[in-house]
Amino acid sequence: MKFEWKKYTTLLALVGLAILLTFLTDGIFITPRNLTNLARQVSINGILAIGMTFVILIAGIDLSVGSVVALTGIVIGLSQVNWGFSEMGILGTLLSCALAIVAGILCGLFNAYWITKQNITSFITTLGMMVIARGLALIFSNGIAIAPMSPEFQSVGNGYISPIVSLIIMGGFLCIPAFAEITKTKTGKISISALFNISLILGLTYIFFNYKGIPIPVLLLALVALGANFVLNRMTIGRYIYALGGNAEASRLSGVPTQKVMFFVYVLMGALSGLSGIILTSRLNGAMPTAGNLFELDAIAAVVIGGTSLMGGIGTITGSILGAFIIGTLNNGMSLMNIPTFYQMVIKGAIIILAVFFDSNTKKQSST
Amino acid sequence: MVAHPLLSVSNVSKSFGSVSVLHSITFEAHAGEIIALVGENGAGKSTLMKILSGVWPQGSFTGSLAILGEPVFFSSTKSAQKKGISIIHQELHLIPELSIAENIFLGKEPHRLGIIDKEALHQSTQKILQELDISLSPTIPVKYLSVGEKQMIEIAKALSHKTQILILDEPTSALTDKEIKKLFLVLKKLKSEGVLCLYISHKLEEVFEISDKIFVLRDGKLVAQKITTSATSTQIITDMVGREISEMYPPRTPSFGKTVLEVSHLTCRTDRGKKILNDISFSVREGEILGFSGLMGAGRSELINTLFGATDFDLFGNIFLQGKEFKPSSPRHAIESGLSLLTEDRKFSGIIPQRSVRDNMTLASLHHYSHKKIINLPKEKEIVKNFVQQFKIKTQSLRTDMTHLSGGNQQKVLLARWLLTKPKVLFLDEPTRGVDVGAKVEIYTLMNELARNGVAILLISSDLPEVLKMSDTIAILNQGCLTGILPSCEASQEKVMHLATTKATTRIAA
Repeated sequence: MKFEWKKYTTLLALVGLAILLTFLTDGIFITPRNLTNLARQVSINGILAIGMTFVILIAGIDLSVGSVVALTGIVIGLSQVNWGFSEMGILGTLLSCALAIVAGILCGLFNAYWITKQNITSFITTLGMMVIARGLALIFSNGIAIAPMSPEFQSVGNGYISPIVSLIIMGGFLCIPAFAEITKTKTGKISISALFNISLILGLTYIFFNYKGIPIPVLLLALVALGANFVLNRMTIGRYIYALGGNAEASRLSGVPTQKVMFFVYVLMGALSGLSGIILTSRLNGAMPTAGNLFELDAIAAVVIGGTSLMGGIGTITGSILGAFIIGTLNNGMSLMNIPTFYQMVIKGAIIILAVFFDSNTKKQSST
Repeated sequence: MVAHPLLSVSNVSKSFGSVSVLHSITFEAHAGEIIALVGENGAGKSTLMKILSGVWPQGSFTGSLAILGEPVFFSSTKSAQKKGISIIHQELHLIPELSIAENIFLGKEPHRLGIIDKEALHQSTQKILQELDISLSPTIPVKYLSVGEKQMIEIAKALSHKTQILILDEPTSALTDKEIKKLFLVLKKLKSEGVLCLYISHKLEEVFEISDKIFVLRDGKLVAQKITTSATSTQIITDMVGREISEMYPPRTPSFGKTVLEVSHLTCRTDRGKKILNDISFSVREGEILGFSGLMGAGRSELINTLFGATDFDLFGNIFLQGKEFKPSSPRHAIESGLSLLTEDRKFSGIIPQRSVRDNMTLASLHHYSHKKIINLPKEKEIVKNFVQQFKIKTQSLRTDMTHLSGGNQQKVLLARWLLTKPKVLFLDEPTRGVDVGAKVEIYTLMNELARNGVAILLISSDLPEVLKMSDTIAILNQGCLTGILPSCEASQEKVMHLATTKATTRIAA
């Protein structure tokens, strides 16, 4: 069988970038400490990119993500500080988190209603929601930051799973590709993708074990990614999502419950925005009405770099996470190299365009 | 002195891949003639007109064209326009937001230093409109015009190019009787000014009214050139359909069960009140293949799409499915009730191009092999594999994208999609269009097998021999009305064509 290297261009780009940065930073980049931090930094955008993958797969867009993250953060801040949930320990943390997710879901429902029931394009609906959610965040917070959170809540974004437990968890993750491989191939040969997955998990285990363990947000990202992958590849709604994005009319005529699918997608995006709001607020130990600015664009960039088509119907979760890691690695590496923030923005923007340029070029070649 | 004919076409042939659509067409046409071009769907009329108007450029076909004896080579529609050939397509190509004048002179606006000279624009428009007896102001945006008026503007646009040859592709399909009268007046006026009109139409009455000569195309060949005054409609119909029916159709041994679907007095209107279907009644039994014949726009697709719940027309009348009242509400509901629809336009409403054969095949029936919304992948794979083998679908693997399959194989995947839903009634809308002969025969064999297993099939096809040979009963639609239901043994191509072309009000009892 021929090695389809085009499938792995994003991964190769990431590896290349990592090697380059290792040299440019005299090895600081590759230290377990830095890589652990990098993974933690990426987790928020990674989770948002997963939600955004669903949205873009059905040929939609969600511009309200960043504002919704801020709004859910404010909901947490209010519940922790003003309503006294911070005095309630773990229970208070759980309640705050639940409220944030509910707030995210409500925003998603709002988007879904206008897009599916009233046929307003997703671009306009979520553009409106972007402004509305930001406004609500400012109203509820009176325009000022809310702090501090309880120590339990702070650990959601800052904590680690202890190295020993991490080792067990990683062992569990290792079983997934290994098991899938055993049930799939009878020939005894190991497929390339399984080899990648296994070496990735082993590499991550090494990194986390040599620092403080798995950061909790990274664990959350991994769980969301596994769940999303399962939904897209194993569940009926996953097929419907791809079909809807590929040909909406054909899907409708094949009995795909198009409205339900769209509701699911936008509500999921809202819920994942809520989850990101939790992590962000916890890490900052404070809720800011201006938080999450331009998060939607980072998420869209990750999805697009990961090879998902803005026309819908094509794309994978793995690609989007790789995309999120490419953006995160760039941010991390440029900071390590002390490149001024303003220059970082220019470089990042240029790389997004180039990534998609190369991707669409390789696709053109493969189709001829 | 022998005058050269205005247009001479010699030995023009064209093929798409291995399918040849025109075989050495040769004819001459003179200034001031109106020539009607008739033939069944797919006979090659549109292809011929596209060659004449430069849509298919020189080099994409063989043979030659000449105007007034001089050979001409068109590289684009624009170069054809320069030689005075304009085409008016079935679908109008006007820009609704622009005014009449701006539409007529689009791309060739009179200007001074790049600034449009509005006065000159309106004056020249006014002149053209007057020539055509159109009393509309040049400044009205086109979106406010009726379909008939828009058609007139298209003609005006064509005349602004100094047209000597005007091609009209089914110009009357969307017009009212009054608008048709008006169009004919304009055409007669153009004729008197020496313009050659090539007029494609399905409506024989019109053809006899307006044309000087009738050219009949069949299977890409020009089979008859007749003077209108000395031709009869029976003759023309015979020319249109008179082909040998080859051994393509496997024999049928029909046996019918209970009535599955009954439609009684079904009338459909659009939300604007336009009648799409008018008082349609029929029924179909288990194991029966009911063929629907009729011309394009007769309402056949609208009928089955309505029954399938895929349209939002206002419905009147009753539909019974296995004796129970059935109200079509959505395709999903229809599928759950045992209906399936293989749509007419495979690309637009059938395939999911960038998804795999597997995903495409099982899309409508996923719930059959999933538990709690989780797909049983091994079971699904098994089923897809079986169908690929049974239908002889040529694909590299089950994971191959649909775009990589040929038309016939795509169609077989879609047919499998519907069979997997275990339908009681199967609607097939042009199931063999754009499909090669081999796949056609396989699809026919499959239809027979399904009917044997008790499935009721409603077959829409513009291929007359196909309908006649495959159906047990033939229903003919004409302009939204059911003009006849014939058992296939009593039906002939001539009879069906007659019912399909004659206006419902003047129909002859079958």
